[in-house]
Amino acid sequence: MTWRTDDTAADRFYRLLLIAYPSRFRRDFGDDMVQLFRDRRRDGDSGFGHWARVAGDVLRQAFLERTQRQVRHRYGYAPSSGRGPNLDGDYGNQVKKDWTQMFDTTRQDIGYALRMFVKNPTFTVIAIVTLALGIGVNTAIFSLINGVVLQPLQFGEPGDLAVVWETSALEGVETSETAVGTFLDWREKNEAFEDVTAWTWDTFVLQEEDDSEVLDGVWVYPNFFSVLQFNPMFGRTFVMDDAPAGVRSNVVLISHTLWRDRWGANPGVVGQTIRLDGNPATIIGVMRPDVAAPEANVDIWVAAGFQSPTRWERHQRRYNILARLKPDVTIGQAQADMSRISADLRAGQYSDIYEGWDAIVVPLREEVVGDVRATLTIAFVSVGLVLLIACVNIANMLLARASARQREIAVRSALGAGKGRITRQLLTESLILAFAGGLAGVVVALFTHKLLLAFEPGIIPRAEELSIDLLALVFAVTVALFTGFVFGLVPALQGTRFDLHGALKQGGAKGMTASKGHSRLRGGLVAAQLALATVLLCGAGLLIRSMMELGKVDPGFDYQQTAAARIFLDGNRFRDQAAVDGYYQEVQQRLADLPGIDAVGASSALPMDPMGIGYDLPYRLEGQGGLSGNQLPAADFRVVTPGYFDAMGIPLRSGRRFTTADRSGTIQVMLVNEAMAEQAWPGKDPVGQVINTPSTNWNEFEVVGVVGNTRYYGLDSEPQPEMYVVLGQVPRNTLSLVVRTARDPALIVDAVRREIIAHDPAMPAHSVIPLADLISETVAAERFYALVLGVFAAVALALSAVGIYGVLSYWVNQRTSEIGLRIALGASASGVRRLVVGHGMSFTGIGVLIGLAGAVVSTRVLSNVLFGVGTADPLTFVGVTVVLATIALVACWLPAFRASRVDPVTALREE
Amino acid sequence: MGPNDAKTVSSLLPLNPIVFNVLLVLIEEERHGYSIVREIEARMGDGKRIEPGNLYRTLRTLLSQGLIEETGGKTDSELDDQRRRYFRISDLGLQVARAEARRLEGLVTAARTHNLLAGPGGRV
Repeated sequence: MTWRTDDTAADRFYRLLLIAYPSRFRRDFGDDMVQLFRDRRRDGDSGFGHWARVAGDVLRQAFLERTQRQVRHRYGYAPSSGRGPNLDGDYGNQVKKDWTQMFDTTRQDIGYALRMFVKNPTFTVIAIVTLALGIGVNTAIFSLINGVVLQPLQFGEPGDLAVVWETSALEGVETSETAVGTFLDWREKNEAFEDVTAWTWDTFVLQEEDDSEVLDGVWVYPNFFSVLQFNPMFGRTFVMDDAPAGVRSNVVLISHTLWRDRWGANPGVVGQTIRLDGNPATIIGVMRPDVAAPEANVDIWVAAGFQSPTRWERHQRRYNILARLKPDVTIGQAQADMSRISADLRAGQYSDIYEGWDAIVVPLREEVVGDVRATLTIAFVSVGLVLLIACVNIANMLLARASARQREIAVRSALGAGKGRITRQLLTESLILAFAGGLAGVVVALFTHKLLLAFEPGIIPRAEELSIDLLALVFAVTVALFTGFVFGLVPALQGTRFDLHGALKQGGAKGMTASKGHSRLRGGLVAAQLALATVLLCGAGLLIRSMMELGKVDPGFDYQQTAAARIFLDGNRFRDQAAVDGYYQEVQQRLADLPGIDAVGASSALPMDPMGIGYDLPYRLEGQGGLSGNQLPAADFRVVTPGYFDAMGIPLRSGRRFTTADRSGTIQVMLVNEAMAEQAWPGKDPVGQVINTPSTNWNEFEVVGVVGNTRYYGLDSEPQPEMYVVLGQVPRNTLSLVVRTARDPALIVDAVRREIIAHDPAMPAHSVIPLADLISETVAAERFYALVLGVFAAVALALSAVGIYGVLSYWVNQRTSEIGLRIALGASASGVRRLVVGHGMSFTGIGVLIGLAGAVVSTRVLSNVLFGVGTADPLTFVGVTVVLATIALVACWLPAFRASRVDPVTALREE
Repeated sequence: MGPNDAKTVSSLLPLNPIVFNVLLVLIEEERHGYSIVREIEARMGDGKRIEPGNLYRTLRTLLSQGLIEETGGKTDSELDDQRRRYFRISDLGLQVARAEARRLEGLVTAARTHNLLAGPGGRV
């Protein structure tokens, strides 16, 4: 019986359960049983009842099968084989007796363990809660990692898929999309790939009689799905004939979401004709839900046929390339092959275009998981620390108990209990504890998982596919069982090894005082635990500080009162720039007439908008005529309407703004921001200066004013130099509208959307959202990290406090008589408290010191996600120390207080 | 049926209800595991499930007793494209099932003579 690639997590769990059966039976029927199990689940079996039945079946049948085998083995007969005695026969009785005896012993052990737990409720509750937190949080995070990193992508043979980028050290471009011409060359000339395909994002307007909607879609080369080995839910995928070269294809595939929302999940949709961007198109298939091909949130797939490559089509680098490796070809060989083709291109007809360009091949999995791997590693390490802390707690508690029970164990062995019997008893206790902790851990895991996904801001790829992983649960419970086993075993071994006579001779209710080594070990464990908690707290503290710093940043514009609407004009209808300008003018006027709207403007790129098409252009100042290409400085280039600065609240520093009088035919004017002024004319007044850019054939622009800086690329980015020109003088057909309102922007979103569609039903807005939402999306990742690490740190802190408390309580308990003696000899209550607190704080101090040193090293992994705060931020470290010291003091206080209330008479009498 | 067979058959009676049901559904046609389970559950109609361990231990026993035979793997187009093991009843299995049916018939006849099956709730 082997694991199959199409096994679900449930199947794998069931396979694990089958270990209960004898291996022979498993070999003969295991696969069939899994098959039956799958059939059942496919036909709707699920939930608690299903699992209860399955578990019951495994327990009962595996027990019977093993018993039967044992009988056959011992006596040469199989019961109920019809050819020998069955279980009721003579031989069967012996077997039954063996089993009964074992069963009785186990029952005794369990009963005894349960009685011990009830007698020490504090111990029991703390142990179970500790384990539950450790197991639960671990399982939730492991599920996340397992889903993202360890589980295969949903394509066929995903290991053979690779992404190919263009790259140019000369231009300083690490990875670039590829032009059609280059793609066609790659596809034709490579020897490493079975096939190569291309895709690119676009938006499509789906028109219906009285309504239209903008869809996010992808153009794909017709072989796209065959390269990915990916099939639709129904219908078919593209074939090469669907998109002949140079002809707009008229077949599309739609997403499950679109199918459900637009067509009410009507299976008759295949074959239906829709109007897409004004052209008829036929739906040929519907995708499965939750696919990410090539990425999530695609509404529609349209086949793209490419012309034979002209010069122009080698410039336009906008296609993403996916390729499937031939069997036995490695990434390294593919890389060599692609570099060979790149060298040919550099030496060929278009050498000027390809100068300095090469290709790089990256395994798809690496590309998809990419940056997240670092994040998840941080999460995994943090969670590992939490589990470690939990295990240390458990170990400590079991050690403490073992010392306390040395006398009890001595009595039991004196009464004739064998070593094995006692070990078994102690192990039973540990395992029951671990089991109960595991169960409670499941609850914690489900809760944590929900919490994480609820706050997950879209930074985890394929998050929609994730669920609590049974494998993850098995993983965590195994860790817990292992902990229980190891630390349950230490006392068991120790408990049976030590000097029986000495232990019995030692009178008193406390039994033997713990050996010095034992108590030092426990102190060391608590110090280690505190060190780990310190590391986590420092990490969380840094992230929270970083969030606070980000909140204080002024982006350079006022986003609280604005909403943005993205519009993609249909290039076929708006060929003429006058028509484009007319459209924006009219739509701005309509919006300005809406009640509650104070200002309206438009820009070719919105700040922090991942869809904004902001780009930088070189510019040439007066007297720089000799410079060209890469020698020229560059700045971000934006086309805006006159109302843009008012709508965004970007302040004017000097000169004037654009007016409606700035249009074609008049002097070409430009506004620059302060960073640009500083870069181009340091120390001089930019107003009146002249500048050339390639945007309009190197025509001149006169700078008429300076506006404030904006952080276009995110709150954590530095303001970049910017040039603003006005629509009308510079053509542009895709702009985003910005409206400013005195009301809550969320309230005007619908009105804006309606107005835009009322103006031109064929040109709906792609999306209308408050700008504040855009900004908040850019820090969503940081917020999520802070939340996750914060939860871990809180759990770690709580567990450490429990650890300190537990060890110190035990220490006080062991020293009751000593403390009583001190009090009898005149020690004051505060003196006793100082003694106990001092003891507790001594290992707290050591732990925190070690932890701080560890944090200095380990928080470096956070350097990429921190803003405005160093990785060894003194304020954070001091804060963490104070928090830990306070918590430790509180944890010490209770045992200290109890110690100071020891009645010397009682304490000494017990001795 | 030779004397040895007769002895074997009687030694196997009475049959466990599940065993009898498995033999009954295999008389009609050869089936794979899930098909057996579905058919039996549909016949019983009492909502009780036969889980994998129970079924395959029963099949294992029946195979070793020679009451059923394996007919090799093939796929079931109704379900999926996986290969499944199919089972059919053997001659011996058929004899045993007949013998069990006769035994049950005898019991039912006896029940009838005591008017157990005469009316609702067994009352005349």
